[in-house]
Amino acid sequence: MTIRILLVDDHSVVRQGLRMFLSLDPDLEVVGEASNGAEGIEQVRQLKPDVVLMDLVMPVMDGIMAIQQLRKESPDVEVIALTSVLEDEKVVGAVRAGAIGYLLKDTQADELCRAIKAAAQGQVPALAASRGATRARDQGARQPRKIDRARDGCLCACSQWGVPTKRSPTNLSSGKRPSRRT
Amino acid sequence: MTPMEFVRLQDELRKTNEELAAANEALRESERELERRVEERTHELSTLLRVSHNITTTLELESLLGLILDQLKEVVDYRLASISALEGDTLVLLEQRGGAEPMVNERESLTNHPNTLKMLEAGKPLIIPDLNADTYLAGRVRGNIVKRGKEALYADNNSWMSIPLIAHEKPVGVLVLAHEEVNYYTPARADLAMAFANYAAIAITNARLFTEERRRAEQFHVISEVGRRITSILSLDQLLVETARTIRESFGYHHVHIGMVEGERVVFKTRNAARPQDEAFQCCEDVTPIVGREGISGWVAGTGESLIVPDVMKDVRFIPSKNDQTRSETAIPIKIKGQVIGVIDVESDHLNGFDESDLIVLQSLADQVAVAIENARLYEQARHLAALEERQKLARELHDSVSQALYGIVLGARTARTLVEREPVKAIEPLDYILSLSEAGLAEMRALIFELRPESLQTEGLVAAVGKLVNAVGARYQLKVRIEASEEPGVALEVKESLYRIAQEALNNIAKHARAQHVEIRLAQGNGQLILKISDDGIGFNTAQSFPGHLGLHSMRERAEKAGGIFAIESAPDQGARIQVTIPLSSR
Repeated sequence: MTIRILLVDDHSVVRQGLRMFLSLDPDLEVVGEASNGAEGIEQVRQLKPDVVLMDLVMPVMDGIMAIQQLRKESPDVEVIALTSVLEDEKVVGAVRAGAIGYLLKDTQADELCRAIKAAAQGQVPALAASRGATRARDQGARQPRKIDRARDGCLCACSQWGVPTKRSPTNLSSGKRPSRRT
Repeated sequence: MTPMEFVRLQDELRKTNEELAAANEALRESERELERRVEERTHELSTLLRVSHNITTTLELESLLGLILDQLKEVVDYRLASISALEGDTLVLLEQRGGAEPMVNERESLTNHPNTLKMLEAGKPLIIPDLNADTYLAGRVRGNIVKRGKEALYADNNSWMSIPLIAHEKPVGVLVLAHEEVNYYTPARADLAMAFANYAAIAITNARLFTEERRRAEQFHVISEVGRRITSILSLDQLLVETARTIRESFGYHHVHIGMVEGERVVFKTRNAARPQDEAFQCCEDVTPIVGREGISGWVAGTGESLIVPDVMKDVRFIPSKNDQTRSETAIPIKIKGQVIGVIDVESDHLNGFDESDLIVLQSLADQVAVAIENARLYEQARHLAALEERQKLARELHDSVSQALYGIVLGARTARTLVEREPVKAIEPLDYILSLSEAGLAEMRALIFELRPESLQTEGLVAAVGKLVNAVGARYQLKVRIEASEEPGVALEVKESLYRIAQEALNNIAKHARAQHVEIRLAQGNGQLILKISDDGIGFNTAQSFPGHLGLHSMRERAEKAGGIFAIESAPDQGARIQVTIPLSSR
């Protein structure tokens, strides 16, 4: 079953590039795009994606506010914050708002797919070593849980995601939506 | 009567006649003498009245002193005369007439002249009829003349008179006269000189008051002038240099340094205020005294109190430097909110170069300097903040433009690479995407470089600048922007910059909030007006309500009005927006 993805970024060139790149992976499908947080929430309501790639700095409604609202009204949807170096400080806010992890826009493109797949399985990534991430961890963001590799063959650790963990792999394998963390 | 008796009587009668004639002659002589003396006295008194009037109507101290001595000669003659003023217990010779050797500005302590002191206390002239006589007083005066090495000056003067100058019952100075004729200064001449001296004393007192008042007025004028000059200077270094130079030039001080407290030291900042080739000044600037421990400035910075040092050689705090001619010094703290932030240090090449009035003036200047320093610091901070904001803005611009384009290029290249191996034909799409992004990135970079070099607005012009902006924004947000521009408008650079910023703000607003497909920019001239119109087919907004980007509109309006133009906006929900800036060309 393909993972349904919504792209939320105010830069259309980024959305276009992501759509193009993710279309290479048959397990991934970009089902929609939005250019700000408010549009993103609306699209989630309509399209029910599995994963949202959410830019943080956007007009109208920024990514952090949108993540907060999504956690409330669509808890089944995993959100990955998509940030650039300049937005490093916002990582804390994004993770505290409920993003399962974050990706830097300079991340190697290959890792993007792996990360999306991990997130779709509810795996909480170990946060990458950045100032914002360290502070996020210090301030009580979701803590990585221990990974059960034996039960999840599709896990792919990468440097950006650190040591991946698995929240509820069984749900994914059974075709159900991953259950929410406690 | 016998013939003998007749002859005797006749003789007696003749004698009596002779005696009567002699008496008559004596009487006539006496009358003539009286007339002569009355005439002389009248002349003396009228001269006294005239010269007194002359001197009491003169208020310039310097010309008055010379006038007093010149007029005195008309009342009482002299070969040598001088006026000394009393400053505390010191007599300062201010003016002289006669004598080959100048004595002006010589200072003598009254403790070395007990007779002069007695004379001042008694308020009566002191006369030495013959300087060469073997009397106690003549001996004292001769001894003093020898002691001072003034033998030549008094060589041909034989009689000597010293007269107290008393005004309002207070001694203010001494008038000294010398004459070659022994016993020249008679009590009558002494009375006359004393009467003249009384007028002279009052005239000197008035002139001093006038001079003091005028000096005070000049000081206030200078204080006000310094304040006016320094409050308009916003560079701290320039402010300190200009202030030091102005104080020195206005008040004629020898050296003026201004130092700032930096950590535990006072660091002087006024090197550039020096006169040319003033090596000693430069040496003083090199000294960095420890606050509260070294130097007069260090002491003032430590205590926060002003200080006058009348003789620096007698003060252990003084730090001498090479070729230093400093004899006295004063230092005043510069304070902001009670905290000493610096010191104004003023040096004189004379002993006792400063008094309380200098302190009042310098304190007032220090207060003004403190305010100016605070202003300059705030300005520096504001400039620093502006530079920081500018850098942040540039960083945001880079983030919004080039870094997104580069990320897109990475994604496109990855896609293309995979497709080249898998399905080469499909690689064309990501390659085209990479190409368009590269071109967009280049346009963005050109626009950013333009931002960093505002002068290119002058060299390349407004039309070219807006063209670059349109290319960059169009590529970044995939907006179709059409530009229609007349020839380069002949307006001032600041007007062009305002229009450029308005166009930039408007395009950003459209890209971020309007969801427009098409944008049109029109720059036209005609009917004495320059008009910039920007319209879009986006979602529009209610101009009467708050809406995203309203702050940008506010800034656009401000820019337009600052450039002497009119800003107008027209929009409604679902009807796009139209902005127009009209600048009258005649007013530019």
